[in-house]
Amino acid sequence: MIEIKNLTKRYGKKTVLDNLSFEIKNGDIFAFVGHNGAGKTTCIKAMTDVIAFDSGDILYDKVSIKDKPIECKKKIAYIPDNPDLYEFLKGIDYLNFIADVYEIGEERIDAINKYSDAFELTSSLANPISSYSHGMKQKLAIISALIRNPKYLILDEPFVGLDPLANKKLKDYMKKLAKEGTSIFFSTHILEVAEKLCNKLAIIKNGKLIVAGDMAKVLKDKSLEDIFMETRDEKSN
Amino acid sequence: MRNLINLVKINLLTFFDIYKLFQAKENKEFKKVIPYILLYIYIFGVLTVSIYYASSFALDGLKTLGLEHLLLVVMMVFTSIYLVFTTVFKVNKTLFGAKDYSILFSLPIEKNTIITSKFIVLYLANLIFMLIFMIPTYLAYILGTTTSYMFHIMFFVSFLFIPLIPTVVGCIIGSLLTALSARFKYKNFANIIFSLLLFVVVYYFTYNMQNLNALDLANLSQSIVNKFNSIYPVTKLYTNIIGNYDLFSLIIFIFLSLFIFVIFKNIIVKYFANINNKLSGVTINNKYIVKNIKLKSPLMSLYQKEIKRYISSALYVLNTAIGSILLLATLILLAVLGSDTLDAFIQMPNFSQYLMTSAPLVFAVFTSLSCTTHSSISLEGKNLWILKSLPVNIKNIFIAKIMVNLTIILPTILIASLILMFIIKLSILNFLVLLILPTIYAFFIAGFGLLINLFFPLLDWVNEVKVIKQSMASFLTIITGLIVSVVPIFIIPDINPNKYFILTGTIMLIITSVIYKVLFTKGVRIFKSL
Repeated sequence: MIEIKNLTKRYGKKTVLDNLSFEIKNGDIFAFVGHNGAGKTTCIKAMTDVIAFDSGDILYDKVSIKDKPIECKKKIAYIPDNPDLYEFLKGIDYLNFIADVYEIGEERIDAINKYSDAFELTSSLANPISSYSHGMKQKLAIISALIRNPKYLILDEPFVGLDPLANKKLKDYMKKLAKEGTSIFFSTHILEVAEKLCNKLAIIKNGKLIVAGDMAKVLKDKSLEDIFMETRDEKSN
Repeated sequence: MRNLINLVKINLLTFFDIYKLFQAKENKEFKKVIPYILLYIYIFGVLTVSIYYASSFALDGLKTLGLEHLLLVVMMVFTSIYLVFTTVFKVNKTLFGAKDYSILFSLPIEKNTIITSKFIVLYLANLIFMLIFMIPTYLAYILGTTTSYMFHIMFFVSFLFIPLIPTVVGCIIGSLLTALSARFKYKNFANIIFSLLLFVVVYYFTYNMQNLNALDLANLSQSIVNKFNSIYPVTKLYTNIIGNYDLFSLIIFIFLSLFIFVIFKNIIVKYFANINNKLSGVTINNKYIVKNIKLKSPLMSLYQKEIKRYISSALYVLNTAIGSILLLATLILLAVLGSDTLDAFIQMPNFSQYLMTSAPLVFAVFTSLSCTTHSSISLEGKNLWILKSLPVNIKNIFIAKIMVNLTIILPTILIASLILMFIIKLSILNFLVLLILPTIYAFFIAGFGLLINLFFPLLDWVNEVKVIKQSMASFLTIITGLIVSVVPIFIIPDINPNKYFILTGTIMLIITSVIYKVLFTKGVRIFKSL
């Protein structure tokens, strides 16, 4: 389980994350929705230790990422919104680099084959990442996350730039992983996907959480788009 | 025209990071950039004053021969060579392969305007670099001689056109190097080799230039100008402009510079797409099957990634392995040619003797010039999120970066020591000192460079030239490295130098330990906050 407790992050005098608190249980597929600049990426970066935060805490299975970052990060796979990967490496070298750091043994061969076949990237793995398109880099980042068999999968706008097949495959793998107990947390602007795929939802506005909870309870008989539009005009808590 | 001005303005703001000043002002974080501004002013001041005094000194010699105008001509020649070299490494990612092309070409702006704007930026950047060298020389000249108003007009009008031809030559060499390397399977390796060959050619050329039986500085200036007249005809024109205020030469000079610049620009505009594609081309392999894989520990994997990053950039290798290359080249020449021939070759009497008696510290100087870590954090750039999100100890990230530096330096020290042992008979103590003292310096410079880079990171770069050659971190590391290795050479005692070397080594060991302590405590905290 991931617990976000009173998470606050400031850039200078501006508070970009204001006392956020929510939980992501094992097996949850949690959508994180908000307008541009609301604080989604900052929150995700704080959750993955890419940036430090000012106060509050983030716990993975009751372990604070502040106190034991390595222990927590061993269980996390993170895919950023813009997959800036090492352009000087070949695709396969990047996957091996990640697998080595996560201490994945020989079983990585089957995993790499399985996921790179699924995302139709196998034939390009020997090519330098510098020759990849945005979508191919996104696929490589996804494969590098999936081969870790993560306990926590955290994604920032994962569907941007993916072709329809990869889009479908990613959604299928997310469902499968969630069934196996992985907690999945992702930000998105594609509300239809969030509505269909996720069982939990949080809406963030100007760094403050304005809606959080079970998707069904939040939606009732409305669509996520309706809820989102309603929250646009509401005052933040 | 408005589009051109706007494009040049935007490019200049990015090229010189001026936009960061505006951002800092808007965010009320101006205090943070003040140290940078002060340091740049200091560097600029030191350079200007040094060039001014060197010029005044040279002017005194030239005056005795009545050739004082050659001072400006020689400075023009050296500045032109410098501009060619810096343009070679700037052309890729500035003129070709620039990241903003995909956006710019989609705008309703003429392709000619876009490419011209890139050229103008290269020209203006070179013009500003020229200012740093030429203006102090100009000041020394006008204060040391009597000049007429005509001289000032001639100087400033011609000044504006000097960078044009070097910019074109640099663009051609840089493009050829990249294009040639792109044809090879291991194009980065090919690029390193070709760049090294270019370095050897220039070294040979300057060696030939030195080999002119110059009796003094004034004669040397005359010889340099004569030599350059034959290969760079513009030199003769410039000599006429500055020496004789020859209006005809000025017109020819301006016309020639503009003609070459415009012709080259038009060729580039015409064949841009073709050249740009060829330069950014990559070898594609479509028959890959995942088979056997060699497992590595996280640290070894980080190290291997760092090594691949290092050899992926010819610029990085050339600028950071230069000390090692020079050291080995000098010692191999010493072994092959013998000390007398080497002294003559380098044009320094007793150079070999000096090298042998102060070898441990001479090795240390070359070691200090081979720092890879001063850029290794900055070069992570947009990839930094990968390291920060990985479950690895930050100390291991640092160690991997330091290991790359040691991989470059330590084998060099060993081979250099063995070559020197082959040339002169060394006692075991001498050999150990020769091995250990530069090794301590190697650990020092690797740790120090990394720490300085953490204090002065530059992550939002577009062209890696900015990080490797022009960043605060690389400048401070190289200067400090040189100071701590060169200064002790001047105070080597005649009696029992080994004791002195051991003392220097002990002091450096203590300093290095402190640096590593700071690196693994405060450095880790800084890395987390990046």
